[in-house]
Amino acid sequence: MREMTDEQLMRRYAKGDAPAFDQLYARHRGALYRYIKRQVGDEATANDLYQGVWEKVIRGRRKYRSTSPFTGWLYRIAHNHLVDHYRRAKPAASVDMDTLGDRQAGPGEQAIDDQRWQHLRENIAALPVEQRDTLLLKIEGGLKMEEIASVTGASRETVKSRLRYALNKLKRSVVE
Amino acid sequence: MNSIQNNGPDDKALNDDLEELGRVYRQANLEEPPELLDQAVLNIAHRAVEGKAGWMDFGWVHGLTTAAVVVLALSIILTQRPPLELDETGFEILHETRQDSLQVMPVARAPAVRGRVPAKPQTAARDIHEDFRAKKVITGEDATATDEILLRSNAPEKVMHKEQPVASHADQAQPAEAASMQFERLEMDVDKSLSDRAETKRSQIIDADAQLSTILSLKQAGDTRWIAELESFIERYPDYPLPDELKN
Repeated sequence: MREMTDEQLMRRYAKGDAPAFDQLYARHRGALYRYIKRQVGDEATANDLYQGVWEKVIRGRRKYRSTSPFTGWLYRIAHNHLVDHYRRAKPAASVDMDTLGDRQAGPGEQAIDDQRWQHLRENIAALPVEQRDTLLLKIEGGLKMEEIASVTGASRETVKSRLRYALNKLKRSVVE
Repeated sequence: MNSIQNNGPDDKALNDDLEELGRVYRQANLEEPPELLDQAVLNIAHRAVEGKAGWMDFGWVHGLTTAAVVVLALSIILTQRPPLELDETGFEILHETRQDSLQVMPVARAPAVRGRVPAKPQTAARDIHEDFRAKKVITGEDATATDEILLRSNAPEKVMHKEQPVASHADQAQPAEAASMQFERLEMDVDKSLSDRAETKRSQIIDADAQLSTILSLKQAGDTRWIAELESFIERYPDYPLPDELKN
């Protein structure tokens, strides 16, 4: 049987099919969590924000229009939730570097050079908020440029520009 | 999945860099939400649809049900009200009363009334009631309700006895009250109409008597205009009894 798309699952959930949400959640939980965690650093805050995003999705299930991609809608909610968080948490917009090291060890991580990962992590955390957000929407959310532009409210060219700047800074940690 | 739409050499280079970064990033970064957090989110999601789905999805059914109940309640209330024939009969009689009061005074009654102006409009009203009864305007069951009104205007104590069966017949307190209010309103209208008619009758008598006096004065003064005046009077009041002095 053909697997249902995100949009179909969301539509079914909006009509009261709870198991449809389970599938949808399983598909997006990791990426969304990392997207938030990389932005705020602090695990407790990340957990709160993560739950808050899903609560907004649940509450807004009837407002979802299946004509727009679910991923874009999900990350727009997450992005706006983070912006609200930044506004509330002013001026502490930067990420706490120490907390970024609180990652769980996974089976695939043995092959990764810890020092290299450390550099990458620190460099992502050091990026300006807009560049970090754009980069994470790309590599975690897997959004297209147009979708990132729509989510962040920036033009497509601005999105490209932010990605270039972010990549130039991170290249060193990847290449070195 | 993470490829950037290719718009030229610059985009391709950017795309390649991002692919490489994404690969490294995903290899090193496998963080996932804690299991408890997953459970919390899923519980919220399930509660949201399981608790309210039935009510929200079938909201239109509740709207329809409410509308049906309102319509049913209104129809019951309207059914419990006193029959409309009562009102229609009442107004029909009122209409006839007014029409009748505009007519010229009957000949047979003129001598009896003549020379005495009724002290109370009720006296004339009683006469008119008798006229109605004589003409049999009120017949059958319709007459019962109207008769009650007419009797009440003359003898309220008698009406009290007649109201009780009406209430018990309805077997409902509210319809009885509504009927009582209808009776009172109708009674007031009838009283007013009867007063108007009595007033008209009285003014006609005074007018006719005054004209006859004038005609008599003219005749006694030898003024020949009395003949033309008398003709005019007879034309206006063909059935009005003339005094002996003017009969010849």
